[in-house]
Amino acid sequence: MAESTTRVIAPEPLEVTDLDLVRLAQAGDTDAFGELVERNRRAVFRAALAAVGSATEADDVVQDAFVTAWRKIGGFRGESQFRTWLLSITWRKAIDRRKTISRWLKLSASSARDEAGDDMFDVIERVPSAAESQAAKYESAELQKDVRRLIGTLPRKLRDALLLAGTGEHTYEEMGEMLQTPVGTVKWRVAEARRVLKRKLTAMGYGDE
Amino acid sequence: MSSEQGHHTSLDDAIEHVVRDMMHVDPRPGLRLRVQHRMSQLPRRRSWVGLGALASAALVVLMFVLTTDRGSELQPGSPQQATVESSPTPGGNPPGSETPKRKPEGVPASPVETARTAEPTPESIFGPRDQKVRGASTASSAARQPLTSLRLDVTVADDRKGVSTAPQAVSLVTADRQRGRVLASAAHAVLQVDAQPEILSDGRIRVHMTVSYQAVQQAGETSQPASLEKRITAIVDEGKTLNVLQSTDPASGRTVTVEIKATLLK
Repeated sequence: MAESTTRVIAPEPLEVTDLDLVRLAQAGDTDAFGELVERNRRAVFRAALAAVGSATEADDVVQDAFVTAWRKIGGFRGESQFRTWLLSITWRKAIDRRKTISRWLKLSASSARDEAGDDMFDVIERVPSAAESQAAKYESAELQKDVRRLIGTLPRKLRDALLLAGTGEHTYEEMGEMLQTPVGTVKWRVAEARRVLKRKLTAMGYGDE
Repeated sequence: MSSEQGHHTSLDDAIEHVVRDMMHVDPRPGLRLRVQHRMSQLPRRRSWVGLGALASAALVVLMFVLTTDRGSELQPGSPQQATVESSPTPGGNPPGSETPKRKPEGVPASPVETARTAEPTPESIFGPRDQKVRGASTASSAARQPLTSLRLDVTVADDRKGVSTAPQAVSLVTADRQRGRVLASAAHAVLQVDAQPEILSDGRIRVHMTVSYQAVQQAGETSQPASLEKRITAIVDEGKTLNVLQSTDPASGRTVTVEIKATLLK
């Protein structure tokens, strides 16, 4: 008697797009919006972090941004990607927060500002380094400290572009949307930020071999 | 990130490494829950479609009332007495406006004149104007509650073993049921408080607040700096300090304590 073989073919999971979730959220589905939060949380958080420089502040900005997106989602017509729309909201919120913090810091004299940049980057909180690199060339804690400090002194436009590019989460197009700047300009700013940093580092005695 | 110049140097590596270290940070777990919690605190979303339907219904009712009112005015045998005459507009009519002519008593109105005087006026629909204004004024003053401001004092004490730092305190003034936020940065810590007090009917005060406290690592300090973010809802007696939060790190023995005091501002 011949054995029959039954092959079970698992159905391919249906892919629910962001737009599907947006439509559900527009109908008041909070779980669908929760899924959108889950999908975009990292990109949104890192964008906020690039602007405000503090994980605590960024977390608050992210919550504000998502709540605003929820309130305004009825007006989202799908002309752009949801993620791009969300990142634009986040960036505006983050910049507002940065201005508030900067104003506050200007009012309160802080000795920590002496050698820092023009805002809170070196004052409020340094984002902790997750792991120290083992690579030989830049093992020097001193060099890393100086790079970090110099990033804080960069002009905001250059620093924003450099840090956004460093998140690993945003395309140049998304960065252009957030910064309201052409993609070419964003790329130039990233390159210019690096040039400025290298120039300053070289002047400090860190030479390239 | 690759070098834009094509010439990759060790300084490029160092910059790339530091930027990656700074930016490759993930949000704290539970972001979705935190967002959904804040969403649940929002006032219920109003549907524009629903509002439109409501407005249309109101318009239909108003049209119906106007039509019915006019119909009854034109009923033969029940001529509408011009309400304008019984409740003259204070200050008279504006120049150029038609003033209804007063008919001598005892002279019956002609059908045409009846129809003309039967034109609805604000008074014929809503009643005497002065009465209406008085009624509205009374209602609005009854609904209006006196606004009260409160001052919230929040103190965070960060006691480390063998190291005593001055408690960090912030105060914020906000109106009843309004949200206030304050950010304070000192050499050793950053404190942010986001609070919404609410005066209860029994005189106590309910405070919804989020406290974010981030200590800055001091020179020579080996342990991780204290970091705390907490949402708290507490009911406090006016003018009395309440310890709403205490967090202890068993490893280092470090204790962070949060106290609040709400004071009504007369």
